[in-house]
Amino acid sequence: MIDEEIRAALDVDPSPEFVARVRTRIAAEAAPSAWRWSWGLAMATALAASATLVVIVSRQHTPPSTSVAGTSVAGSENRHASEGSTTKPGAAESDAKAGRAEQTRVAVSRQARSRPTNTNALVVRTRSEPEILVDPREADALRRLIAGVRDGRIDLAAAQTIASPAAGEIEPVARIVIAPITIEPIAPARGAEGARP
Amino acid sequence: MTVDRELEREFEARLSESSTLAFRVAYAVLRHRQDAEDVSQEAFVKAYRSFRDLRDRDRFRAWLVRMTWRLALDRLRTDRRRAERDRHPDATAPAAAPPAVAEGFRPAAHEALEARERAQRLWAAIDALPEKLRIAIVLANIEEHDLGEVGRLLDVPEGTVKSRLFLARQRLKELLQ
Repeated sequence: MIDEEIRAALDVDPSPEFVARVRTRIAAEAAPSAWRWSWGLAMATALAASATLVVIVSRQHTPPSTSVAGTSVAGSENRHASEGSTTKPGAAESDAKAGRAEQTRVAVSRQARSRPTNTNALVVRTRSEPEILVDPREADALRRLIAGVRDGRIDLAAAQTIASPAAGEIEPVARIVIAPITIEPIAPARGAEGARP
Repeated sequence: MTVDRELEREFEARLSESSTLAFRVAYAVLRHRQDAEDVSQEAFVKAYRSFRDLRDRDRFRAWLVRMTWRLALDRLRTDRRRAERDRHPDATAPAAAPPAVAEGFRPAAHEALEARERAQRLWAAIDALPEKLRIAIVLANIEEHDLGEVGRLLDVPEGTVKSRLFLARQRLKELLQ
């Protein structure tokens, strides 16, 4: 009897919109978390991108120490060369100045020998950069060529004497003639399929 | 993504089969339709947040019942408006009326008054029960739960449920006489 009364008292159903309201509430509950997650992801991506940009820009604006050294070496070379040229007219001190010029040449050649070390340092430093616009080996070869020409170790006159062949000297290419191809029918072989010996 | 969709599908199934249970548990405490819906909705939201640990059906229903009951008690204790509603009970609440009202039968005025008074006395007696006896008698009269089902919902052995129901019925008889 008591149980029947309690059962009747509890025989109440929620409104028809109840489940729909719960669904809406749960959807609203799930949306902000996804929104927060996407926002966090976007912020992390933006931070990483800006940090990468700052690193790249700072590296691009940092002057390489080797180029400064190379400039100073070139400057000293020019200075010494001009000194050498000015010493020629002098007659009395020509031997002493010639000796000084020889010392200068030796010093320049020492600096030139020490230059590849600086270049290697540049290569090591720039190896971690994202992209290489000029191959360091090519740049090194060009520097050595220029230094060699300035030092007089390399004579470019020999390179100028190498004459390329004139257009008239090149023999014309012989015309290639291909003989017509004739395909003869294949004679049936002995013992082939369908033929009895 | 697939796992999330699977979870959503499972939760939808739990929501469909347990919405009335949660609502009635809350209603047994609050006896107010809108408050009961609010509380059971809050319980479902909490269940959704922890649903990865509550995928098992029995575990989910037991957790939902206990959470709804606790939230309803909290709501009852903290809601100041409750006192006002007790003085002016919700006339639209079916709990205050006998089953004949739900079937569309309109009783005479004195019969309605008598039914309302009897329902009020019944709820007053249920409210006077200790909490463990109260939730046991409520769950035993929702959705025709048997002893085993009530035991699983309360996470207690069937024997414990049986003794609690016996004590609850005995106490209710004494209070209603």
